[in-house]
Amino acid sequence: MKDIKKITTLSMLIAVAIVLNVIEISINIIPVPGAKIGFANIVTVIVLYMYGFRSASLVTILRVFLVGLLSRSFTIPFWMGLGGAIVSIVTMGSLKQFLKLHLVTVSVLGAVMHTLGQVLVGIYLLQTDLLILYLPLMLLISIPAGIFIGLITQRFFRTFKRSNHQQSL
Amino acid sequence: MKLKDYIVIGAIIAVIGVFYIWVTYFGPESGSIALVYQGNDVVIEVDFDNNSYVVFPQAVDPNYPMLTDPVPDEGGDVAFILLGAYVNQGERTRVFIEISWQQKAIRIQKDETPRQIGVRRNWYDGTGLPAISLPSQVFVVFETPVDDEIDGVA
Repeated sequence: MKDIKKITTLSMLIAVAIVLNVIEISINIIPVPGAKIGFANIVTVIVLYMYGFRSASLVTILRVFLVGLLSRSFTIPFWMGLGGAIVSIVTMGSLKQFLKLHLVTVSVLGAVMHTLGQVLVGIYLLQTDLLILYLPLMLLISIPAGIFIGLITQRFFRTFKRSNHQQSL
Repeated sequence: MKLKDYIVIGAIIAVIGVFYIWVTYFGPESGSIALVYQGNDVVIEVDFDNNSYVVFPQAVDPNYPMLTDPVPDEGGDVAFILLGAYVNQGERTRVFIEISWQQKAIRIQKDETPRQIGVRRNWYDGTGLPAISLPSQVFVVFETPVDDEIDGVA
């Protein structure tokens, strides 16, 4: 029974992540080519803190694949996104597990490593170091983006706990 | 948040800030020659000092890059169509490149790929972020002309 609840919750969270991802692709919030806040990462951080590293990895990788499938675009940006997502989730999982850092700090480091990971994958696949020129600005953007994602996730858990507490009364 | 969190975030900001300043102010100088790459091959070379260009036929179809008309009233003087790496319904999609002699700039005017990141970059004169279309694997780079003259030995 507990597993069914977990599977249902994870499925809904994957759906939310996909919707957030698709919306973010279609509207450009940051006026820098290729840069985005990464709203779908809110779901990754939530799952990481609710269900742990394995579930968060599963949700993130599935989300990247499903968005790729929806847009029928398994080109280099897809592999860059996947590479960034894997580096990011491994970083966040390790930091949460071993360094016991705060959720916002974990989110910031996840965002930074996501950017770094995707640029490195891009450089490897395209065999051009031109993408390094994008790196400083993308990394600078990833810090406030990570803080923003972390704060939203923190807010979510506060509301979630309050709501659960009220239900149990 | 604890002190160690502030230290970690502060350290990241410091490292990235230094990296940003280093690349922005001490990075490679941009020149007056623009090179348009498709994959690892240069397909168009533009010399903004002499307002001239050289076209190198693409291996996938020697008819490309193909000359076309620039979009009226948007500053473009010369326009080319080249074939990108992105395949849609079995065919390579096209990438439209425009050159503006007055602005000494080049842009990816149109790109038949989903996300249009290179198009949004608009006119690129060698400063700031380069113009890149990842799905099409089209890159625009500015380089300094190489001095071919060899120093004479007396």
